[in-house]
Amino acid sequence: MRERETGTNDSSELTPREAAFAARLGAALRADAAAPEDFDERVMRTIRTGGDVSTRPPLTAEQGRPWWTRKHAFALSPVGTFALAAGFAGIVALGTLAAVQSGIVGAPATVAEARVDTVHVVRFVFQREGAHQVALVGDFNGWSRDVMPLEVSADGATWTRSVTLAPGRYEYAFVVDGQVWVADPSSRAVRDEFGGETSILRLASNGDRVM
Amino acid sequence: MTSLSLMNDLSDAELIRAVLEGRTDVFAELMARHRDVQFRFALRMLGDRDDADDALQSAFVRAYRSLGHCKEPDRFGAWLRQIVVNECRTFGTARGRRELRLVRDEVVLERLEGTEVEEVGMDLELVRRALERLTPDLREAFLLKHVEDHSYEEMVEITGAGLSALKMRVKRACAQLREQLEGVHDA
Repeated sequence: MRERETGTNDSSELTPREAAFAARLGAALRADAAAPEDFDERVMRTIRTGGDVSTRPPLTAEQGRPWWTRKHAFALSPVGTFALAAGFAGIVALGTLAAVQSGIVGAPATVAEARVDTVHVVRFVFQREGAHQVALVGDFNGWSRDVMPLEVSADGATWTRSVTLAPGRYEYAFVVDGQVWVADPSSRAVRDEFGGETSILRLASNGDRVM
Repeated sequence: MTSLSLMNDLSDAELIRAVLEGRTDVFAELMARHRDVQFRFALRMLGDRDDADDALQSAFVRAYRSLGHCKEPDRFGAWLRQIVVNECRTFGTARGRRELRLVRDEVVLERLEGTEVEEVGMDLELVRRALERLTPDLREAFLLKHVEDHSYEEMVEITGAGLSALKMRVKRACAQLREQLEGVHDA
């Protein structure tokens, strides 16, 4: 079939027939084009793991500062504090950090510390009987419920987790059994944009907790 | 009630703010809202599910990385579209260096083989083959206008091309597609 169409003043405008054709074609091409089911999971895994240079976290004012003054989190068992201090001592020997002070203090409070210059080991303590699992979530771990599970004491009531943090202000909370979001009763809480409450932790440069 | 249960009620701008404040996982909600329409564009643009998957994954990671530069968070979708368009151009250029191939999507083809999309009376595979024969700039313009329903003003913003150039590309794309699919030749 061959035809000629006219009827528009602007040569770049579609004629009615062209427009109708384009609409039909558009409708056909909108069908059957959903992303693979595991797409989100793969992207989030890439983002979390920072797989390559293109997957670094969003740029913030924090960036550009030396890494040891930025907010970082490292997995650490509570009993491993001295090992951590020793590890940083090794870095000190390379000239990266200055002095090392170590030791755990203040068990009943949320915060304990082993001071390593500007990096502090913070022990989070949460009391909850009957829970099957408790996770620490905060802006220092991307609010992930998967990366910082707490360890439970022998009596099943005290849950703890140690995290290395640089001085600064942090928001955090506990997630019980993967569902229940609980602010730390021992810290000041603020209402977040999701309608829940999160706790505030302020770490001074000397490692003191600022209330 | 958990914080996460309320995310559906939040705007894109609110989700973006949460991500920038450190809640990486909130980005998943943002992605879930926009992933399918962006995938559709990438698939139609590149003609291959694996290429579209790669391009879109790269686009979302870049969007995450650059989220702080999204000047109008309430228009995240349009901003993301720019990134997806650029990624598709990059992937398309890379693929152009490889052997030219026809569009194949075995999964969909198997399901649609020998059938037409009833509502529109078009064989989807023939449509895709026709799209594949367009130059990338014509295909891009046609898809943005008539599949993704962007206004020309949005297309200017997304593509960086001028208004008259975009209109002409759409016009030419339509003419070429009609010629391929309906045997219509404009004089």
